[in-house]
Amino acid sequence: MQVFLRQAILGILVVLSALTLTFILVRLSGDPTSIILPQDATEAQRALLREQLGLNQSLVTQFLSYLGNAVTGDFGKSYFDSESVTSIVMRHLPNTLVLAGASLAIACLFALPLGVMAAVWRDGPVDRFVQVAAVIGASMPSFWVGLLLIQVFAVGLNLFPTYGTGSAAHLALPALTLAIYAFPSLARLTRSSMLEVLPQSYVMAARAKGMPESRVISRTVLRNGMVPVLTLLALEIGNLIGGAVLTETVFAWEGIGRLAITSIQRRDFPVVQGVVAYVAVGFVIVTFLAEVAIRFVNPRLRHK
Amino acid sequence: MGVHSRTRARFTALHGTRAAMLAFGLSLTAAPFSLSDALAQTATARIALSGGLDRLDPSMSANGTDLVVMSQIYETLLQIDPATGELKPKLAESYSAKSPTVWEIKLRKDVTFHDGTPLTAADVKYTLQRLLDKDLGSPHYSQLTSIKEVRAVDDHTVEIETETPNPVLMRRMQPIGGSGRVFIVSKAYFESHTPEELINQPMGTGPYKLESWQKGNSLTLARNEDYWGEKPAIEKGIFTFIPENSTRVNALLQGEVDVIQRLPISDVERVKQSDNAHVVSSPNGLVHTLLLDSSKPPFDDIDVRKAFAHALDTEDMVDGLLGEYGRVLGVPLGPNAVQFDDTIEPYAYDPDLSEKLLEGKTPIKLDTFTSDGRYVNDRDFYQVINSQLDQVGFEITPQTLEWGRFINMMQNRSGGPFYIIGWDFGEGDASKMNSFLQSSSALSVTQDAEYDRLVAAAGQEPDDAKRTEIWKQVQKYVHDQYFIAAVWQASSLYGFSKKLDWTANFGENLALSEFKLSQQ
Amino acid sequence: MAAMARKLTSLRGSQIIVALALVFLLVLAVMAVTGDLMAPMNAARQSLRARLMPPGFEGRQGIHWLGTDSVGRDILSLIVAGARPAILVSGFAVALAALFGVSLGMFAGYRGGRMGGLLLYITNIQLAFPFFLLAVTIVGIMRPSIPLVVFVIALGCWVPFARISYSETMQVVEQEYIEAVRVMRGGTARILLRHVLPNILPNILVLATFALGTAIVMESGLSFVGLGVPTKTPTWGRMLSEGRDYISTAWWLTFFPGLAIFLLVLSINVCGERLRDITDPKQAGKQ
Repeated sequence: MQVFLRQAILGILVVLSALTLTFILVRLSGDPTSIILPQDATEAQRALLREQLGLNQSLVTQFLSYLGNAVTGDFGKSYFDSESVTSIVMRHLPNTLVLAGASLAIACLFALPLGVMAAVWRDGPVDRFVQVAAVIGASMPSFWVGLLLIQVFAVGLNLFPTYGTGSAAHLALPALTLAIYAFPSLARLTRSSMLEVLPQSYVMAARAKGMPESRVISRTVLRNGMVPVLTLLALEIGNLIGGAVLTETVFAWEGIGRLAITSIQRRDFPVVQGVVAYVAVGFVIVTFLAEVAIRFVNPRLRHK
Repeated sequence: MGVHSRTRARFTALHGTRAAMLAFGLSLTAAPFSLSDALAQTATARIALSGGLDRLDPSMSANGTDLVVMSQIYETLLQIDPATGELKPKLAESYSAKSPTVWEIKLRKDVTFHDGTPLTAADVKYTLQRLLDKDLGSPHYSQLTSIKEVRAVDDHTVEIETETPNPVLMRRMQPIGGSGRVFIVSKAYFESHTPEELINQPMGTGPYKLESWQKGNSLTLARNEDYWGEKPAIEKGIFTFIPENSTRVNALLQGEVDVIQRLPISDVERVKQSDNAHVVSSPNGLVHTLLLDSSKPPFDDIDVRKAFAHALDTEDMVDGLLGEYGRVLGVPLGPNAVQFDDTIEPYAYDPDLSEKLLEGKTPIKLDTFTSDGRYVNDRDFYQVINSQLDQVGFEITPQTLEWGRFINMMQNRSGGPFYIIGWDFGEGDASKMNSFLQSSSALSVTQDAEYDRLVAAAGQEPDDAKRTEIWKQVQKYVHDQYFIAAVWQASSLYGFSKKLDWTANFGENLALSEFKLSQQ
Repeated sequence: MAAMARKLTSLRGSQIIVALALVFLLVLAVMAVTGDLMAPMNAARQSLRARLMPPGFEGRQGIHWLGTDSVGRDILSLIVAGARPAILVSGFAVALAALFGVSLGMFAGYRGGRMGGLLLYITNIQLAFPFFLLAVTIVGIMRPSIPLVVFVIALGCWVPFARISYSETMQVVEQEYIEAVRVMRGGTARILLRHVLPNILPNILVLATFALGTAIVMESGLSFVGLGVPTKTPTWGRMLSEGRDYISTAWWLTFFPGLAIFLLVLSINVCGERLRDITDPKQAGKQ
């Protein structure tokens, strides 16, 4: 229990540090008034806008008032459309979660069983297939895959819409793109962790005790071999929540990643900070759950 | 799976059978709940914009996509006659100069806002006063500061008094040209709503009114059935946002949208060859200027500027990169501007002259910055320019910068020795040149007393003919001084479904009310 | 018998693939060393008359086997010229990331407890932070240069190294023999290098090969946000991102640089696999 408490405190610290870092970094990244106003605006106009946005106050004052509001859940308003950051983020978040969920589900559906089978029947046809598929998948840049998929399935065969967010048909291509991106590392890590566990003494011991092979695999081998896989899975979820920026851009998918990149390019500080805050919280929750899961599958770590 | 196949079915229906059964050739938007609904054919245009919408309060936004939507909902006092480039009345019935500093505007008497209230002089006065409220921070503010007082003489007469004679002021009263626009709003409506409501629920006098706006997703306009002017053909306009170029073009070709803004020049052929789409263009797009920083070495030396300009084969470059959708100009001014001097030729391609001018000088090293994706084919333009400069002996080290950073550097006059900026000359007046040539302008890298003296005289001259004369002198001077190494104009390109047509007269204004249904 | 024969032929098959991969990497290495010399044409030479020409087009300089780009440069020559930055930038970035991540991960995994917590803390901050935010911010503050790009990419891919080596080290340390070594002769660095590193190296190698691919893609993503490698002719990643607007009209602009990246990463992966079989003593013994 103490472990989990420590994790929770660590999580809060992570979120706070990420927020502080973002706050400083966005303010180093340039003056938003150059982008908000027309390009030939006068210096006086820009000065007035800086004042209205509170950007001429000292950094400490700005940060304290930001933190004060953030604690109550108020992340401010977008510099551009005055919409509250919370509602902007909440509009994009479900799209990202759907996309991340769908793509990871597809990736796991194939990667985990195939990875295990590849390890158990090493050098067999499944193994060879997994290796080839993983190598090919991992070697293709994901937005290149996305563009090729659009060319083939949306433009060429006219099976799916080319862009946008909404129906399941819209989801298919971006989810597939991200699944192709996530599959190789998942499958290969599953395979290699299984291979590491298989020859271990405790596996031998289980076999020696006369446990049936299927039980050996499902109980002993999976349990121990899944630890690095879960670590990786948590990382992937974090990555996808933080935004599959390029994929979301190619498919005009209204997710967090695209929101982050456009807000950064427009120097929309409150939105950038809001995105980081939500992503950080989401990430901390996912890692926490992964930690719980790891301890659950691998009892030997429970007492560490 | 169930959801998936249902969506697929709907998708096919929309794109296959329905298209064929439509007399107008446009998609049905009515949901098939009742027979009458299903039979009511709605002439709808689905338009994909190249960026999202921010705020639809015309005093608070000068953003390009906002202006597209706002100019369907709000209207201006005047408009430009596409045939002559001169101003003509819109919400105004007439306008005249009572004295060099006082404009008198008579309003139409038959105009009502979408909420049914009539347009009066008080609304015009309120609109201008709101824009001139310094604390509001309107992006249009700096273009209107010469206004001293606005008077509502009677219900349909307004007088605008300026500090000094300002012949260009009336150009702000038409809808084209980016910042400085004066769209007329309702005093009663604006005073009774919060700033947030004004941003989200625009209400004007225009041919369309806002039906719904799902932020970040789509915005729907419905035809204003009580519109004072000619009734447009299109009943509904649905705007969506697709920033990615190739995605936008694919959406058009797939029939997912009917109109796309900013058709990339590389996709023009593809659209032309398709069965269901065509290209609509206006030659009056952005005027691209290759600015030289003549306030610092090495370009403070006119010989170096001259060598630079003659090293470029601008004609070949524009022909190669923009083809029929680009033109080289001799002066940094849109040809639609009334003062445009078409007798001044672009600088000739003369690399021998350049090399001669640079002879004896130590090789000139230029650390430059380039933009990528801001303007039509800008990356390619920079690459060609750099390679041509390289051939006459300039040593160029280019770096691509993200626009947010780059524009900030330009505004601090540290954007490097040369760079491209595009200008919207939609207003049709030479005074726009001041944005990049007058010493006091933030984006000007030219600090030249003679230029400043000439344009100051032009700005005060009430007589149109004399004013044009001074502006012609300015153009000659700018050309002789080699402040700007090359000027070209790129067409504004749109992709249209074959079911729709439109004549684009001006650059960046998509006028839904002018769309026509094609008879096929 | 049949099974034996199949195994033999497949072995030979895999060896051929490894050999092919090695040859490809060798060719790339030569291209990277000689640079422009190997290019069939001058990669920097533009021709607006011959822009966006398809593969096989015969221009003034000869036949453009892979077509020309948007300013009429020969794509094959650009790919040859782009080998050096592709290999150098991604290679250095991954090396930097691995060096940093693995040392941090091993140390934290070995010490455990507080150190482990600290590592988790640092990696969590890094991961909770959108990578592109960092990149754009850096663009906003500093001028693009090759070391800067290497640094940013390393920053974007060191975390998995740290995480994996941390958890792997923890597992290795649990094993009794390390305990024995620890009791016999102390030296943290010695234990880590002699006993822990060889055990975790296979997974690190697997990771490094994937990271190399990621690094190249990151480089192309970075040129979107204006942090491209400032070279006269574009890197593969930049060619890929620059050709994006022509994906429907001139597929060769993105297809071939993408293919080059694909083949490079593929070859590295194949060789990495082989290397892994050799370096992993436990599994080599099993064969």
